[in-house]
Amino acid sequence: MQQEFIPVLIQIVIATGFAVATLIASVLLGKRAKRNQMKDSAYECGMLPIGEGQARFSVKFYLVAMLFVLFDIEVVFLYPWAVSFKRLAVDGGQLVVFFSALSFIVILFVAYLYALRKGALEWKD
Amino acid sequence: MTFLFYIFAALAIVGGIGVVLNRNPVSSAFAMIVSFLGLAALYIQLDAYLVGTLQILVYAGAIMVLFLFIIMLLDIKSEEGRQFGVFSTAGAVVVAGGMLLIVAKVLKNFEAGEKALTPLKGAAAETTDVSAIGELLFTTYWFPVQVIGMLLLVATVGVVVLSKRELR
Amino acid sequence: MPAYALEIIVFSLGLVLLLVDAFAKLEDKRSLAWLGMLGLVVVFGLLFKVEPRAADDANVFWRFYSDSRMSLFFKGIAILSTILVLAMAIDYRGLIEKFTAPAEKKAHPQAGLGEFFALPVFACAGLMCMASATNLVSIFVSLEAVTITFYVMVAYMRRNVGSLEAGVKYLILGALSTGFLVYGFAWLYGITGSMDLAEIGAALKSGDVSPTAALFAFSLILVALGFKVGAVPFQMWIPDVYQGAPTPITAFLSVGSKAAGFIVLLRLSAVFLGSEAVAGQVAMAFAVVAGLTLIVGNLTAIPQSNFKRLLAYSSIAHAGFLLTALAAAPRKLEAGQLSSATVVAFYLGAYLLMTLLAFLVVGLVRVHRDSEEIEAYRGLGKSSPFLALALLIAMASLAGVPLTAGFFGKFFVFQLAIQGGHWWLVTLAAIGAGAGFYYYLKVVAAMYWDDPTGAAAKAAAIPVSALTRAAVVTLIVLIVIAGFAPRMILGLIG
Repeated sequence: MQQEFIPVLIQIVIATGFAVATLIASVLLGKRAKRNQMKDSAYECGMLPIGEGQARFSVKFYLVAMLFVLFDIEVVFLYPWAVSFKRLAVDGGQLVVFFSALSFIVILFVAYLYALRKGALEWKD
Repeated sequence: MTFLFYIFAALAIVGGIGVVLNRNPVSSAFAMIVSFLGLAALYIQLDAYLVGTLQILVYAGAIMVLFLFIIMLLDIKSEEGRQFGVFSTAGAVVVAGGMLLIVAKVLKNFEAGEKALTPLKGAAAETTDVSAIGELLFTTYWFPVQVIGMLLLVATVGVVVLSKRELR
Repeated sequence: MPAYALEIIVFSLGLVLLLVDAFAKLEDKRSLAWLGMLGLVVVFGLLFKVEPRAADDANVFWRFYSDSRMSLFFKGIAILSTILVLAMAIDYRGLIEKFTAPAEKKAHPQAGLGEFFALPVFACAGLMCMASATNLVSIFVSLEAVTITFYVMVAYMRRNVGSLEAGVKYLILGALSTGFLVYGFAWLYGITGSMDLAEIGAALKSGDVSPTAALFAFSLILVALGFKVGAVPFQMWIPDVYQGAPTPITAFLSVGSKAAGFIVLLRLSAVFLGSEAVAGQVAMAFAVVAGLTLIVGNLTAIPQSNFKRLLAYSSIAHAGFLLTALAAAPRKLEAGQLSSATVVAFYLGAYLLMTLLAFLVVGLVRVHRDSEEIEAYRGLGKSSPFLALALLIAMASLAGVPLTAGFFGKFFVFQLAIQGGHWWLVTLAAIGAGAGFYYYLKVVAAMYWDDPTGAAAKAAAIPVSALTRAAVVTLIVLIVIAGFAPRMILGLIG
């Protein structure tokens, strides 16, 4: 079974190698960049830039990413369950598999309802 | 095949060192992703296919994205300019070196790898490891899975309370 | 009724509180706290109706869950502390509303308060699971569930810098200690081949495992659990986190988290102390940690001028006493002798009563006098005699004055140490108890013999609600009863 992952390894090596090779090629084949601090600074139509270029990011991005992680973990638990459900519960008759997964999903459904009602899933302020 | 182990272990260690030594937080995050790639390959080599794949999907895919969103909220310039004093660097070297010495000494006195762990019993032996993990999770270990559900619920409540701009 | 029904009821109570907060239109969110307290009182009553499991029940569930009397006692500690924390949270609600995020325009003005009443109930369910965990997996999962709930609760007052700082410190250091714990569990599983504590104990006893590896696993686990209970040298987080967190949560951390950490430490140390090869070194490790904790905890509490911080340092000192009981665990239990597990359980029960009483008063003084310094307590004897009496009894019990619960707690610890011949520990514990008398009675002196300064001089008596009054009276009565008749509590522990 491990041998089946060798193509994945080859793919990674080719992808990384391609990226590294093109970067090295551009360094070797291209001209040396003539940089100075004035040329590197931000262009504001002739005005000197004031303050930071970075705008304040809204915290909604963090909220969305965090909720994604939490429900992704739920899916991670459900994936092995889905693979083994037929073998265990349908053919094998072990109902604990069904009820434990049901209770897990219900708990996370409550979490979803809570986040929904508290407006965590709304994007507009 | 063991030369692959050395390559991936080196990748994981180099990535880890990159996390600690990089000044720019974004570079640290990318070094961490490289380290996770090395770890995932090590898991695959140990025949833990589900864990290795989930390492990429969940860790590098979801959790590093979360890290990058948080880094987005930081001020990069002040993070890059942060200096570490002599004492904290010395302390870190002493602690890390001490831990390394202890682990080396323990491994010297302990014949690891000579004993094999008991293989999984029952139907789990003939199916794929995903199916075996699913069987264990929802039959033997069903109670801890419910506690994990509670943990995720509390984390959701915490996220909403601590990071929404205005509460409802 | 089986024992696991209790956790299911408590957890469902938490779910109900959360859903009611999200969906129902409540006038005042205090009703959520009342609902939570009522539910928990019912569960506490049901605790006495638990039937032990049938001897032939071979369900795989019982490999993860123990319903011994010790587990039920610790569940009782968890439920009682949650009830009192909810009562404290009702008094503290003004500060919570002030320091959480503002409510949206069309939202309930008390937005953000409902979750503060629901989260302790979830922590209680987690603590109850931890009290029964007999498998490395269930210990770890319930420990994490409790710890993450505490991360959220400690940082709850997010517009208060102290609370945020406390939350961040607790999170970073807690995550580090979890890393050590998992590594220790991985080594333990690796050398014994099992996650079940009974099987691990058998494997360690049989002598098949290498003692070096077993000691390494033990040292990693000791680092992690030492962090949790506040043992030196892992105690650096305690003063800042206790001082910054909201007062009801500090009380919950101080009692609940410590109790849970100790029951896990008891179970794991029993496994290691049962094996001849490593028992000597494990006991010595405990003795060194206990001695250091006793010295550092007591001596650093002496110069404190902030009462909440003083209580934080004193909780390190109490962890030192508890660790002394662990270090002095007798090799062979004689008839009539208390086991170290019983002594630890009794001490934690007494600690619950006196700490929650002290924090009840601290919370009220913070809300009404806006200060946690000892100066704010000057003249409390004249302006609010009821609260001053409550604090007097709490301080006396914490110091170990005879006829209070705290006295017998310390007495049993000393008895165990003397019987085992650990004279160094006895000396350090005596010094510690002496230092304790000084810093606990410092506050009592400020209350009764100093005159209030500044604005406090003209302040009126602190209003005490009926619920708080009932809670204070109950706690005082229980402290005095335990001081007169400790056998009653010992009988509960079984």
